[in-house]
Amino acid sequence: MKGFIKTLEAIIASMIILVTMLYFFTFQVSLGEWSNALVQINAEDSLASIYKSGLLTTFVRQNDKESLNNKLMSMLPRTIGFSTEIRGVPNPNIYIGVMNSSDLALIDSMLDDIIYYKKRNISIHIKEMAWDNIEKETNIIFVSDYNNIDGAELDDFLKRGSVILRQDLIQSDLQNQILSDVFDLVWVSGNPSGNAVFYKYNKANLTSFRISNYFANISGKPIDNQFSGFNTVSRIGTDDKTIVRDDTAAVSYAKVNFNITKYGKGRAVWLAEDSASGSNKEEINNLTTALIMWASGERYNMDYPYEKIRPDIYSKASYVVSEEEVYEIVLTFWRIFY
Amino acid sequence: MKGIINIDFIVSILVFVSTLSFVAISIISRIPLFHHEAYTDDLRSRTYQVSHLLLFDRGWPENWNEANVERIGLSIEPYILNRSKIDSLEILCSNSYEKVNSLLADINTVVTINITLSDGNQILSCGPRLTRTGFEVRRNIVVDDGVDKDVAKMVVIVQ
Repeated sequence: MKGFIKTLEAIIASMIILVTMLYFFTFQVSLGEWSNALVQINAEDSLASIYKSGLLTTFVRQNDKESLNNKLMSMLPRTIGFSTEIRGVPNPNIYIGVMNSSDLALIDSMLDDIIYYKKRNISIHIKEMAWDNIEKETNIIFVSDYNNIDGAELDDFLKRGSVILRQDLIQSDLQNQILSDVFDLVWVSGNPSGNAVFYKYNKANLTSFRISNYFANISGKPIDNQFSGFNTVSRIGTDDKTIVRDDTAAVSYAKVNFNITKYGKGRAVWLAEDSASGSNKEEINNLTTALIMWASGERYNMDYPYEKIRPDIYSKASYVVSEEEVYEIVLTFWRIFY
Repeated sequence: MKGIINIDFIVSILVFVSTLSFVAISIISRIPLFHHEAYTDDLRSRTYQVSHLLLFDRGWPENWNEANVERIGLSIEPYILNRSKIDSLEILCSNSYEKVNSLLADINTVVTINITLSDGNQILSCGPRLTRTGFEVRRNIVVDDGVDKDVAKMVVIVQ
């Protein structure tokens, strides 16, 4: 019995030692991140070299999605899927949806079909549609009466697009929640003149700086241009989201709002009506065009032949291009096989 | 029975010694694996370093050629490689590969560099054909011949 106990003790001791040692000396050889790092380097190299070769500028100016995709495909490993996006410049194709024929006629009369902006052609497409059937490519919904807005459908649309309201407002209108929540409009007192200028157009961090530059480039007018002919019915207060303000009173004639949805998306523009004619009307139309260029979202996809759906696991590489236009190309890439 | 070792005691010792041996062998057997991993990581970082040097450095002297080169770098500006420096490297490689290898790596490693233009034309093939598997880094670059710029691919292999 004594010997049996000794053997049993030895077995128990051995097991304790075995388990303890293997617990403390468990070796895990990690796979390392080299593979991911090399793909990341490859993606960043691709963007840098495609820009430095001059090809990126050509592809973006001509909106040549096919060539950009073919070039990137030849540079990236074949087992990598990718999607490209341009950020910081107006979309080359701006799709505007309207909800009735009078809005269609109104916006059509204010815009040219094609805008030539910094060596790029920007095409404007206007189409009548219904709130419950907004087409997928639509960037902007244009309305001339906030009473025609379907709040629920607009909330949904703002997750991917923008809304423009061109309407004179009176104080009681501001009780409508859409005007305060979506357009961020506040009623003030004042005695506006109908003449207007860009709000703080030299402050580069404000949207007015951006839109005033769009205006200056498409119209050939200076950014301190004075607009005449705005209706003076509306008394919308000014803040850093004001684009155009009265030249004497603290009243806005054009105001934007952004990051409306909880996901940080959605842009809104309110614009006062006008009674301008001749060159004054032309300038206000150019202002409207500049507002639409901003409302396009200033980001668009360059996938070919169709927009790719990225998987849950992906990485990004980006390159900031600083030429006539400053923009960012963002390459989202993922492994096709795991 | 005094003076004779108990058979149970012998069995106990055997069990105990076997366990210790198993643990010791388990630990020792891992050492080559770790050594290999460390060596591979070192090789990878050297490969990346060489590719980075060629891509982002002008070399020394800045307008070096095969006769006066002290440090090899092919860049005009980041990502843009000078075609005449690539040609100089090609000549240097065919005349004295050992010098290229000594400038880019050390005597224990072998470096191979290839540059191929987008049309498939290989403009640089420097280094021996590797017999063992080395570590490879592919970089997308631009080659500037003074007239045109062309997107190209540079492959650096170190073993």
